[in-house]
Amino acid sequence: MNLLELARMEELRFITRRHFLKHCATGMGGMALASLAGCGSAPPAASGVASSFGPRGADFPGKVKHVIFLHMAGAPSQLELFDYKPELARLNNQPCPDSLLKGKRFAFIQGRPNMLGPQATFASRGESGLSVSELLPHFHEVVDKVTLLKAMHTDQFNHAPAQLLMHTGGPRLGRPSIGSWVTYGLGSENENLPGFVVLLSGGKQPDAGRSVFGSGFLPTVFQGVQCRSGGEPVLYVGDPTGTDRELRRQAIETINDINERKYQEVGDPEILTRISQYEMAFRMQLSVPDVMDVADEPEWVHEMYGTTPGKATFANNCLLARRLVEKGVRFVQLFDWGWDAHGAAESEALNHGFLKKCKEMDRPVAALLKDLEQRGLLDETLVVWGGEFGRTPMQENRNGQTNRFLGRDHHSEAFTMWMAGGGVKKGFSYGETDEIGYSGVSGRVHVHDLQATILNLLGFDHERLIHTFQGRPFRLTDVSGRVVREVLA
Amino acid sequence: MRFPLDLAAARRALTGFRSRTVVGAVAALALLGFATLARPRAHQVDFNREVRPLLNHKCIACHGGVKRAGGFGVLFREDALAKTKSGHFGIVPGDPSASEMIRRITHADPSERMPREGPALSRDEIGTLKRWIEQGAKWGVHWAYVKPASPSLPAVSDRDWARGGIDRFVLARIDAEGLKPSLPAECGALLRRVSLDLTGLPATPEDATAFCRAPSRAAYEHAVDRLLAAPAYGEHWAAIWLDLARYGDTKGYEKDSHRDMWSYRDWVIRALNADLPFDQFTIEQLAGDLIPGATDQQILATGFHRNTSTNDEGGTDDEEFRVASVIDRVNTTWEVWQGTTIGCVQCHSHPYDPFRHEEYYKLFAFFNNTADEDRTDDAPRLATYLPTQQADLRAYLGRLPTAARPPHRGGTSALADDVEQVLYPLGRIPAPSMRDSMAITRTADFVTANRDGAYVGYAPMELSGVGEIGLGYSGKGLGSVEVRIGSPNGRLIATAVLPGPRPARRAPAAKAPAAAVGKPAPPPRPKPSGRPTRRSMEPTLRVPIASTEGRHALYLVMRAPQKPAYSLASLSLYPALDPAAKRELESSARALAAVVPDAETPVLRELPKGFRRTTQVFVRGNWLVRGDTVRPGVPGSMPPLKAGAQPDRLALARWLVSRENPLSARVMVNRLWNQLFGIGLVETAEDFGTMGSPPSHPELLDWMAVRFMDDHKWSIKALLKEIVLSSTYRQSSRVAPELRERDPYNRLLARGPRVRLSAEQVRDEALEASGLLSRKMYGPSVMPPQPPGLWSSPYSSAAWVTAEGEDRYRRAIYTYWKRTVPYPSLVSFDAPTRDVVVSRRIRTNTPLQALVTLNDPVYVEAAQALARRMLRGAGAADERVRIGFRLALGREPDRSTLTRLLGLYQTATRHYRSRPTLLDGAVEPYMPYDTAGGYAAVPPHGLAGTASAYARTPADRLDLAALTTVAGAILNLDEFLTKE
Repeated sequence: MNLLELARMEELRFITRRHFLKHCATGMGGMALASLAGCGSAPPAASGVASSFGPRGADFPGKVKHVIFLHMAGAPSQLELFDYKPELARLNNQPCPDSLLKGKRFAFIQGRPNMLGPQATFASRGESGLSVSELLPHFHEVVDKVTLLKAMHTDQFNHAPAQLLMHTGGPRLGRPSIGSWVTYGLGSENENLPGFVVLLSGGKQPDAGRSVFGSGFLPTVFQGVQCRSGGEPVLYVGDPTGTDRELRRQAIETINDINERKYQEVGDPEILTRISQYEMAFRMQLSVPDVMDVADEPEWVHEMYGTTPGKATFANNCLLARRLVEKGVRFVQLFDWGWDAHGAAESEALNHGFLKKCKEMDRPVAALLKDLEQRGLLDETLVVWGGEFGRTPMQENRNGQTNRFLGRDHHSEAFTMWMAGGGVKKGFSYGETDEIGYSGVSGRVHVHDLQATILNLLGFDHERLIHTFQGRPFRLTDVSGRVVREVLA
Repeated sequence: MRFPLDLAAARRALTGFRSRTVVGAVAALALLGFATLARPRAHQVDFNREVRPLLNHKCIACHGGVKRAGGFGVLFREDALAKTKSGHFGIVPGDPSASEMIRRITHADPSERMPREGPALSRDEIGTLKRWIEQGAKWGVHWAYVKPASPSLPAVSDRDWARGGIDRFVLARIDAEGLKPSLPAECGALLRRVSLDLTGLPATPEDATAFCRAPSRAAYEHAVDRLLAAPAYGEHWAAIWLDLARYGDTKGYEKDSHRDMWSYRDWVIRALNADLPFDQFTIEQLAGDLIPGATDQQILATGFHRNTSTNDEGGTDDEEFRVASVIDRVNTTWEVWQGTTIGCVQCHSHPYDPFRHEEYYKLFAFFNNTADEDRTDDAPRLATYLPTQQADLRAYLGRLPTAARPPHRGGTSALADDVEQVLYPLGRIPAPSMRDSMAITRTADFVTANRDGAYVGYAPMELSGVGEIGLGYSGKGLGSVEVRIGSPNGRLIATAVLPGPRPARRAPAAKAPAAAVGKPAPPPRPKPSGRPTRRSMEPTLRVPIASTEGRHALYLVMRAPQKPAYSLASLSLYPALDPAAKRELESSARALAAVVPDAETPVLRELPKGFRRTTQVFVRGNWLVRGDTVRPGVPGSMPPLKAGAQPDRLALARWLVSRENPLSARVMVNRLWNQLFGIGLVETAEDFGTMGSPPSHPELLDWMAVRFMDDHKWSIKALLKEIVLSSTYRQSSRVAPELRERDPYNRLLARGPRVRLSAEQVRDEALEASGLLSRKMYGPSVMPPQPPGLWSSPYSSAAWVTAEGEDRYRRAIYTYWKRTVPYPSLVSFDAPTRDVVVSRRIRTNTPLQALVTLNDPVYVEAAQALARRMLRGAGAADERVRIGFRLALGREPDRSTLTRLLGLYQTATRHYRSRPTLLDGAVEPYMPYDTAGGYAAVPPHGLAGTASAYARTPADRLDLAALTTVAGAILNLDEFLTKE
């Protein structure tokens, strides 16, 4: 240990004696601070070897500091929401031509299905005049803030693999999610909150489970921390019944005093890290419930989002996303389950369950964009909306028979996502699909391209944000990905 | 250096050696004197030490196994010497001036000069390459691909300290660095260390006291023998092996539904406790089913490779995920046994190591002929029976009249196979194996006929001697099935009329079996408990076929299926028998089918002849684009398979653990070392290739590898014993600042290991210290308390049902492992999800861990139970605190620690005195996740239950509350969470 480091270590010991740690610590603790609770105050790598374990740092100044990724798990239909196809309306109920079926793989379509016209009306909205479905009345008010990506495409047509591809860059289990990559690269900005927070709604976890917000082969400190609207906001954050704050403080001080003596005896710096982690745990016990409690929001805010305090609703999660970003959380990932409108049952029919989902989603999403903007946060935040793939222009005919309700099968070749916020064009539409919305004909954006673009907005070169594992350098975008410069402001 | 040991491992794992940010790691290497290794020795250039690192770092990204820019590659010598696209030769042995490579790296024009866009090579580097070409451009084999030979033991400064070979190599290195070994660890610390290392559990205070009374060498050896013989040994090391086996209790992906794999987990525990030699341990897991006369246990061992994920999501292509599983098996096998990252070769030749693209598919071919195919029922599975059932079944089978015993298909001695043979004398084929189909829906386990004339076709099968076929089907539709041979319009050999609506399939009722003709054998006993159904593919309809000779493709043509359509699940074949024999066989089958197995575990089974798959190269790794056909084989850069051996999984497994294989022993020795010391001799336990980290003690690694194979005959226990008896292992882990600066990661081994406990150890130790730990072994995984609402897989009704009784307190290895929602407190302590093989857990140190050990009810309960043990001790507070400390840490607290804990005790006493509700909360059962009753149902175990049994008076209750606070603090001490 050189003198400088020795001095820092001494200083650290001094600080931890009496106060909660204020700076990036050593070791994995330092990394934990970086990812979980941030150490935005410590410039990465400023002190050479000593702090090179902090966040990796961006490759260039990013346009945004935060990401809110709204994933509609199950994959909403682009043909009812954003991609209006009059020709498809004309072909409604006509048998699907061979050319669209030959050599294609579908999840459930068998034999020859019929085409299914749009099940919603569309109109031009906002100053931009973008065409948007009447199913999204609130979205009309914010359409001038977004960039639509209308020719998205993916490689996967099953939920779990497609969600894995969307969030980890690969269709199989085992890779880090985008939020992990981002916190690995940038850390957080709040030392009392996790840097990567996940919020679930819709009653189910995403189809690919926690793996879509897991850290894969990155250390577990980078995994998404699920915060919950019901029950404990973060697992084990509450004191058990026999302990209160004062007693807990006394206990932690005792633990840390004894640990420090241990450090003096054995000299293992990991002990210092542990001391700081216990102190941070104590702080998190206050800060996490605080940020997760939306009760202190004024009535008009609840009105705007349509929130129901205490419930794990998508609206609550949108409001929480704003609160978390406000506090400096780097990456907020929402999953709203229940968008898989096959038409095999009422709850998943385009003319029933899907309408309900649209209604639940529309207001809070519009509120989120407006709220971020009025707080000056939209310029430094990127909001991404979409599913893991799209839906077919054909009506699903499971087992070769017409489904009982209207629905569409999974479709990998075309779907719509949108982005809003810092660095992205406003009131802009990129990419076109063919006249029935089967595949993109211009401005196609692959999932890896989207990921490259998100990373770019955060200040990363997606080809350089690399981690070597099992002898091979890995990155989020695997071996492809192109920054979609056309949509950058 | 300021990174603690764990950090060092994590950091290098994070960034790899090539990253420019790893200043720390590089500096450390320099400190350790590795730099000297790279210095040219004499005049002969050493390829491995001097040239390969240069080529790897400067050239191979563009001129390697993936890209061969300009037609020039430096991975293989023949590529490097070949003519490049420009017509020049990159390397001309003996003639640097004629070598294009030298011309380009020394070129004055920056646009011509190599490496392109990178800094120029230094003068020394260029000199090295020139000299190397001058000397003939000889390629060397990377150290890890050279068979290890036993090096002679070096001279050392202190022959007393150096007890054996391990110490000699370690001390020689310490001597060379001008250092001294650390003092031996104190007796209590040493016993705690070795207990945690060998059994995963701390030593009991009694053991510690006894050992410290006379800590002789013999006493230590005796303790080690006792620990190695403890059943807990197998549980601890199995937990480590299960990361490699990617063991889980669910299937992964969307539904992530339950899978009965625990029999495989139990196999691992038993095998380790029995010290099954590692070569046999290997062969049974990779190819137990192919061992002639394989036993149930040997087949069960192949569950190792059935831990791959199965995707039950609707609308998935089973073949896609079957292929994904086979790929996973190849990659896992190579990482676990060969420390080789073969995954790269899936898409292209290896960028750094000597493996070519097509060689990946030769390895793939070994694994490509197992019968599993991503089916929802995870078939094939091996039924295993309770001991009483086994005896009954064997007796019953033994007494079957010969006429009812079909000719043995041979192969195994597994009971399940004998039963199967009676049930399906000529075999059973699951529906999705069908080769050819039209107008059917293929879901995971069934094919469903959608309209008249729909058909499915099977590959040619032997029909001579077949009297009947059985169709397993379900569904309400009326209709019929025509059985034709050769083509969908071929000769009609049978027509099966499906008899319409039938009740849902369920396990045969547990009724007395019909008496077998001839001799009333006592019926096998059905399992008493109501276990789930089995035999989802049991034939539900049997029809005679016209006598047919020879092998034929079989077609099932659906006639007039009605809505909803019927689904075919399986096809089975039965011999032509006379009526009496047929009756006998059928009644026997009924009797056997009534016996519900204890478990049915997914296993590997090779496809029968005629159903084997051919393997083709996947062009650029895309499974839909097939290239050349390949046969099973090992990479050309490795020793060959045994001559004359059938190239199957068994041959591959034997090859891996043959004396000729350079890697398996080294990789395994390194794994054991990594567990004991917190860092392997090769730090990258998963990668022994040219991009992995070089061994810190190459000779020691080789010496131990040879010793493991030749002297210890692959005995893991013998090797572990030798390591933990060494002076190296027994050093104190205290580190003086100078040594920490000199060797922050303890690569020189001049001190003992100090490492945070694993996730499993953290749980087990808290339960053990508090007296709650159940030592019950084996069986289905259990569900200790977990916060509600975590399990919410789509289309799954599976629920976490908190265990009652001692199952709440089982060792962590028995905790239910749901892949998409792993047990949260284990994950907080860095347990992997077990989706894929993990050779090393990256240790982290986070506030979420503190929240677990402070607030997770499991740990609160442990603190309460420990406090009860403390309360039972002598009356004085300081003695009680002492007892608690001793129970947790196996040693007496020093005075300052005791004072501090007593201070907390007094503070807590004052605090609780005026807060009766808080006091109740502290001493009464804390079970926030249990719906009702909870403790009442807990049988006496440890000191669980309501507080009144332990603290009758108000004063006792106050004491107990304060002691609970103290106990909680003790269970959170760094020393408690650390092996030191």
